Amino acid sequence: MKREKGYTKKNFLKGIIAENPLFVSILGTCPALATTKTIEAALGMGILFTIVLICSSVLVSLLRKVISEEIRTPAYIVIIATFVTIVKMFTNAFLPELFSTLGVFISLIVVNCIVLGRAEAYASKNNVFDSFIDALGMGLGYTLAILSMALFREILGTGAISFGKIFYFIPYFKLQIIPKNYALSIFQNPAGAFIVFGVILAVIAFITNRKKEYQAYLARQEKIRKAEEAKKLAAQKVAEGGNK
Amino acid sequence: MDKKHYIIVSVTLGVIAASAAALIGLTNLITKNRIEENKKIKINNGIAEIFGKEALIQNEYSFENNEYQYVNYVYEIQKENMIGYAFKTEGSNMYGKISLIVGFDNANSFVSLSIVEDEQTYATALEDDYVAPLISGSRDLDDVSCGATFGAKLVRDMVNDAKKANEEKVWIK
Amino acid sequence: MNIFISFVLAIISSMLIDNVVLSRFYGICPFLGVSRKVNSSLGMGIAVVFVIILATLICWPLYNYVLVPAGIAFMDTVAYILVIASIVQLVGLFIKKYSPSLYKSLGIYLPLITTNCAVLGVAQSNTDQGLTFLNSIANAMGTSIGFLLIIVTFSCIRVRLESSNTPKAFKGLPIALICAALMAIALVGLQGLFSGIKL
Repeated sequence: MKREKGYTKKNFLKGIIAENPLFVSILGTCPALATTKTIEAALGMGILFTIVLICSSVLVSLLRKVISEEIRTPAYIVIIATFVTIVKMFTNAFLPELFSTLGVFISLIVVNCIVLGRAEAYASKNNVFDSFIDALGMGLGYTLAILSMALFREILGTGAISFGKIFYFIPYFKLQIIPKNYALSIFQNPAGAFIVFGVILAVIAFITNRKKEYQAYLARQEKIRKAEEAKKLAAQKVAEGGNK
Repeated sequence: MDKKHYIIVSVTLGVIAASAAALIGLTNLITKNRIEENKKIKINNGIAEIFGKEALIQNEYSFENNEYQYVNYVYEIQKENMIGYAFKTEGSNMYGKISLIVGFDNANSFVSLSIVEDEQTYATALEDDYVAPLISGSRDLDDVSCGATFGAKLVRDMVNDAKKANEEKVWIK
Repeated sequence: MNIFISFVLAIISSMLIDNVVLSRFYGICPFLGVSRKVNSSLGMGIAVVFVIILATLICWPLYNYVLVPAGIAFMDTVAYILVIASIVQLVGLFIKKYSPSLYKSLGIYLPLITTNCAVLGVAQSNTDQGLTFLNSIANAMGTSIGFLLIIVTFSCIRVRLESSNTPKAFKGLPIALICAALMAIALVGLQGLFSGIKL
């Protein structure tokens, strides 16, 4: 089976823009709304999610010839739950602030539709390298998506970006962008998460609609141009035939 | 043919389950000590918050016979000499667990308290509305109506329990 | 009497004040995906009620009487998710045998209950927070009935939204999310509901 050139690059980029798991396929929304109160928590959640996704995709792809049809689902669930438990224990030991901030949402990576979906749809049918690149792209896309939501929620909600409480090896700094009296604290509430998510989806729908309209406009122009050319050619032929 | 298929399926499942259990057990061995250390660091941070940075734990006693409803451990705190006692309390209500350190000085008066562990959903409301004014003195201990009433009631009960333990001082023979 | 009152209060506060979808963010995927028609959301909600209560009844004793005495308390996530997957399969077989029409109308949503964050979230947070058995049952009942309430309300609103004149970019999911935000704000007003009760 010959691979077309640039397959790996397309495979990697599709997880970030074209098939972004949060904004295009609307999967894995529970952690995206609950852990995006601060940028640090969202970054931590994204990193843990990417690690679990890569490890489970690679392992499922390694074992894809050995696991038969009937026990597919329980086997995938056990593999994913194992990696989630390992990641949870390492987080509890080395980043205890992140563990107490994220709480039960680290365990909920097990039932995240993205991890199970990628394992069933892609990793069980492709080889190890492709599955690794696909998982890396999807994880990076998810991390960027929840980081953008956390950016809006934290800047509009508290007016400042603060870093260094969870990742203690980075010195603590706090950058106040909007004065604290003008910050809208509704964005730190659950309602604000829904609003930010809805508005981002609306902006993406707007851009997609504009693109579609532009493509339709270009196609129409092309059709008109072709019709004019054909008419000119027919008129030329008639003129030549008349001259002869 | 069918039997062989079933055997292969169950063996695969068994191998996956066994290796999963082995991996998790290995991780547990590696991280267990670190998690215990983190808990001790949290307690030391709480005591530093109440008594100041140079306070050290001189001795520690644990109440093993459930003499008190919430108090588990008492620590003798000293800088150059004895400056007070700190009580570690644990309790839970329908929203989750709370764990506090309550500090009293040598004159048996309440110094401060520090929250070690609070996993309730309205933890921020509890800290902002009840605990912070209580420490700075602008709120009464019995005034528990706030944004997190059940949590505030639990904190009040734990502080009263620690007061009782401080008055009785059963560990000094 | 005291225990009974605090049990009922725990159910009501899990249901309304600390609502599972709008405040704790547990069941968002079916909340956004299933709530287009009222019938399917009603069926999904009732099935979730069954599964959550059954899952709590099995998982809490499993953790406290089997896993903790054996010293393998860290295997709780793996054990819970396997228990939940089997419960969903059994409930599916049960429904298929006794009410085939309900089974057909539920369709694909029944296996989807396995990946519902609410089920694993409730089972895991019961043991993470160290609740007693009675409090766990109250938490489970409050969560599941609250989920049913919210998903049915939301689907009624969403049916109306389909035929109204929203801006083109907001059609479909974005305007539904803004509606959910308004519902969440409404529920914040119930905080401090029990502050006058002496317990």
